[in-house]
Amino acid sequence: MIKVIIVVLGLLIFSLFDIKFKRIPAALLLICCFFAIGYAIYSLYHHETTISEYGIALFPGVICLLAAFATGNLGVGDGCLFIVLGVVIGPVDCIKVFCISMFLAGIASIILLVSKKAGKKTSIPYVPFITAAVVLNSLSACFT
Amino acid sequence: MKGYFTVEAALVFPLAIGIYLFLIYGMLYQYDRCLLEQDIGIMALRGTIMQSDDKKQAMADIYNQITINTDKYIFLIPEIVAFRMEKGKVTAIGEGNATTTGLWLRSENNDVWSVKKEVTNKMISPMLFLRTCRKATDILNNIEGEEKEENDAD
Repeated sequence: MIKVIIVVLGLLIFSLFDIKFKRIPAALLLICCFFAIGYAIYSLYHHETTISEYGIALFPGVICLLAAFATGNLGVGDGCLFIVLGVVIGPVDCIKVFCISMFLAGIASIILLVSKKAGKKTSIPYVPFITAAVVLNSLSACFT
Repeated sequence: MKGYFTVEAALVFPLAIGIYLFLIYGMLYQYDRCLLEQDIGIMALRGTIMQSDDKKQAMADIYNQITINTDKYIFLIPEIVAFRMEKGKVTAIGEGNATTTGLWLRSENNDVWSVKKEVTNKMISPMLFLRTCRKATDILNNIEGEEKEENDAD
């Protein structure tokens, strides 16, 4: 539970930056990355997770990064954030969060397009959707 | 670092990811289905050559010998539902239910992503089987001998 609260708080900070500047602070992400590596080593040492699980957890982040470099429709920061998130919350939750956030972003995009507040190439911040997805995923885990 | 998502990508990405995940899941499900059918087939085959006066003991022996190795399954949880030996026939029934690992592809009745396989084989006496094998070997040897003789004659 504490882990989820810390993750959500961190994501909220990132969300504020993303909404305001459409950028993720690299220094803050680097600090999170160090914490994530520390957590990964701790988990591996205590046999809580395996390296193969970390491999699966990196999957959404790598997809985001590939899409960012290939199409430019996504920010590189989102991919990096997903890699860090995957290491912290684990593979299954990370894929869930990835799917939920995509779904939420899709709904928001449809609403924006229908209401003619945005065009096809308009950029929207993605981290708030990731935050919402993490919260929804944690709530669903609590209620089931 | 840039942290945005274009509206176009937000519409295309969920579709693409959904299709990919569905395809991967479907393929792994097919892999597990084949594995379960193979295991049940092997179980029924072993049952056909089991020879014992005490049927109950024979069945228990097979059941203990042939346990499905669940480690090799990815999404399905395999289970031997029934194993019967009656009227000279062996029937093995296996079932597998999908664990979705949180992908929410499980239906309410869980009948979409589940497998049920029934294999029925005729029981064979090991003695009869060995005799048939020996007969077959003799026939093959005779044919080979005749072919050699023909070749030598040529």
